Amino acid sequence: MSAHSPTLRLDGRNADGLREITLNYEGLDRVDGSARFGFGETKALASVSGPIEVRPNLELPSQATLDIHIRPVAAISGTDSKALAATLKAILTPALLLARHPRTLIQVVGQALCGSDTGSGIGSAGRGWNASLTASLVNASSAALLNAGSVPMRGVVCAVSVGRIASGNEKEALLVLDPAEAELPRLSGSGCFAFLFSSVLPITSLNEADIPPCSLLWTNYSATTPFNESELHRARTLAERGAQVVWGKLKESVAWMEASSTGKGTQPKRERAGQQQEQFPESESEVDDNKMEI
Amino acid sequence: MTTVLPGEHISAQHVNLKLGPGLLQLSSNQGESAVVSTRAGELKHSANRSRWWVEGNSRRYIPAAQESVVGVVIARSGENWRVDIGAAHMASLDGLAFEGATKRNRPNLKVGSLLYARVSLAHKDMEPELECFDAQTRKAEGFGELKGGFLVHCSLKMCRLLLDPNHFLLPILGARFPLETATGLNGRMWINTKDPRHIIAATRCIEAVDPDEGGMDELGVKKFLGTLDI
Amino acid sequence: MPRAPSPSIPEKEFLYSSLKQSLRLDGRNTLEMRTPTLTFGPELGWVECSLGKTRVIAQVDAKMVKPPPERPLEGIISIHSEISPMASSDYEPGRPSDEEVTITRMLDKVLRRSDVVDKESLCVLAGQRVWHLRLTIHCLADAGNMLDCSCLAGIIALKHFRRPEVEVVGDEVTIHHPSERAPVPLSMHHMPYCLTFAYFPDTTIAPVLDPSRLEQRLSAGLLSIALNAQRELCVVQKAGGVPLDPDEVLRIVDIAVGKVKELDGIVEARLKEDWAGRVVEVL
Repeated sequence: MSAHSPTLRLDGRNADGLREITLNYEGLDRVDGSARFGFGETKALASVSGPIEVRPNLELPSQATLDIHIRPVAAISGTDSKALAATLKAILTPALLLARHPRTLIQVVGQALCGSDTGSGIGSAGRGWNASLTASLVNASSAALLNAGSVPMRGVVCAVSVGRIASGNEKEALLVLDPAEAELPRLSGSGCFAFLFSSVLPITSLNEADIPPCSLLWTNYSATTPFNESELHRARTLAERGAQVVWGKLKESVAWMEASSTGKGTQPKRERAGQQQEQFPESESEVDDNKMEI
Repeated sequence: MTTVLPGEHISAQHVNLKLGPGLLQLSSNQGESAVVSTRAGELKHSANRSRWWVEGNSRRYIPAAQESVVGVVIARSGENWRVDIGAAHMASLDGLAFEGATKRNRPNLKVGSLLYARVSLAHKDMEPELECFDAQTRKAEGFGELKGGFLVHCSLKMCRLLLDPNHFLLPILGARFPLETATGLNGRMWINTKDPRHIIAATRCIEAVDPDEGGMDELGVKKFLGTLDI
Repeated sequence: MPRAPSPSIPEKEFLYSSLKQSLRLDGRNTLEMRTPTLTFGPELGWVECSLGKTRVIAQVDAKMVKPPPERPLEGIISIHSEISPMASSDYEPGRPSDEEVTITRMLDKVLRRSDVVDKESLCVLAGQRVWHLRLTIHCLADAGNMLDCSCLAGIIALKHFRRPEVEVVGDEVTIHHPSERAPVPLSMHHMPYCLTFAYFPDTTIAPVLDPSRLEQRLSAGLLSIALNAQRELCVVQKAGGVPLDPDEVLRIVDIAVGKVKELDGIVEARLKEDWAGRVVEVL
């Protein structure tokens, strides 16, 4: 993917640039795993519990039941959230080895932490799940599953969104990775792409040495004007590169996963994550000092 | 330290290869079999590279045979007790699975009693089963009802750390006050001391040291103990 | 998920015996609250509030609607507080537990019925256009006393929120996007806070403020008091449990007054700090 001019996007990113990724393991007290994932300000929180006791009416004799709840930031879950929960279930199922824990429940709760134009009073808060928010939610769920560590997984699901800017004079629509909320009005199409990364999958052309091969699990790419196969292919290629970055971020997080739940809402810096081996950094004891006062 | 995500290829090869938690042999699309990680964590292997596993933390217990656990009696069903060990399914404990228990003479458990027991059967399709005696000697060996004291919940890794005789925490606590503990591998630990202040101090230290919560080091704990009322 | 199993006998006995000596498991005094931690979001009216490990997010948004004919001069406030299994897998969506019902009712009493927000100030054009404020409470983790944490998050979110400026010319209503004109804070009458005290079956045990989860589970009754820093009581709720002396209730109210003043100080300081660090762009 080429980026022609730096002023292409409102925040000066290249067409294939992601916003800054934030990832925190929240350490929520009453669930087995939790994580907050964000592309810039588009953030989502997810929690995982399981395998836990399942209600008899949901029990499956040969595999675990995957139960997903999605909650918008404002008001209660509507049809759109329920539809997204069904989608997320379809995305996560291939990544999980559910047959390893039959007659149990794996419960995932996804919580949007932002809405479109929240607080502006335009009344659109919490309405609609744009592609970037959906991608954040998928990644938060994956990270929460990694954090829980109690559900065996075949691979990791990573998602990114792609936006489409139709330009009048050019034949091909311009595709941009991870559109920010401010860019949404300019888009003539967008979609979330979810990939499964696992070494059991066949190797693809885009494969990099230290990242397992991936395959596209799901996309909801759509546009207001018709688009052809090659555009979809370009979007998928762009998304795959972005998903590899997300995968790298998740991989990096494994080293500081445990230390992160202590520092409330702070993500360890990249440099720190590298240094941290068995000893804990100095800041750790400061955090604990605070804890004593509570 | 090598960290892995689920789905990564592990180059583990040995004539007598043994795969531990977090690793799985899967056949790939090409029909070859490969070792793949199934959880996130640190990849570890034994010195001769024959045993491999992924060391990660978790809060949810998955029963495994011969592990010691701390459970709570939930109900009685006929001759058996139903015991909550923090797993997806209730474990069942035979009323006679105690040292020297007979039909006439068996321990008098109540709903809510705390037990230190050994998982005698663990299979994904079956309810876990417990026994309160050693498999070989059939002696109690410390298993049985835990009376008094308090139950501390911690992460599974914390339990494993506490069972390591080289870990710093219990000797530090033991130097300050006498204490009695029973550590289950299911993220539960029973503690008893004479003074309730000591139980509170021990509880708070375990919580502070737990890698899932505070990850405090030895020096930190010593300082922390100094601030507590003991 | 069926209800959580009750605590074991040793946990129960130890909690009661240590409380008898005024010892709490987290090292607090009996009438000491966990210090609230507040984190504000990038948007106005978004706050994350934690009391120890109990965590709640509250979010406010506003939209313009036509008022119902019976109240043409008042804005509308609605509160959503469904507890998801994120707080704990003991909560089942769609089947509210008693605790969830209590929280919903208390939020309604404390934040809506006690006239916190001046409803008439939410009226834009009589009978035609009013603001509909929507407060959503998300409980992220239940480590005891979700009620106080939810009320606290809710009131702070309302105080933190600013609605867009509107302009009325004749029958024309223009809403200015926050980037055009600085949004305005809600007109609020007062800031009530809710404090919960737990009582135990053994009446010689002194009540504890802000009960932890185990304390709440083993309590024999909760007394929740909502009041503001001006010593005005809004709600006193005691749902069953051990009978209390009227003098005891008055004593607790007195204690609550002092605690609320402290709490109000913390909240005001944090709101000020956040506002100082916020750049409101007006083009």
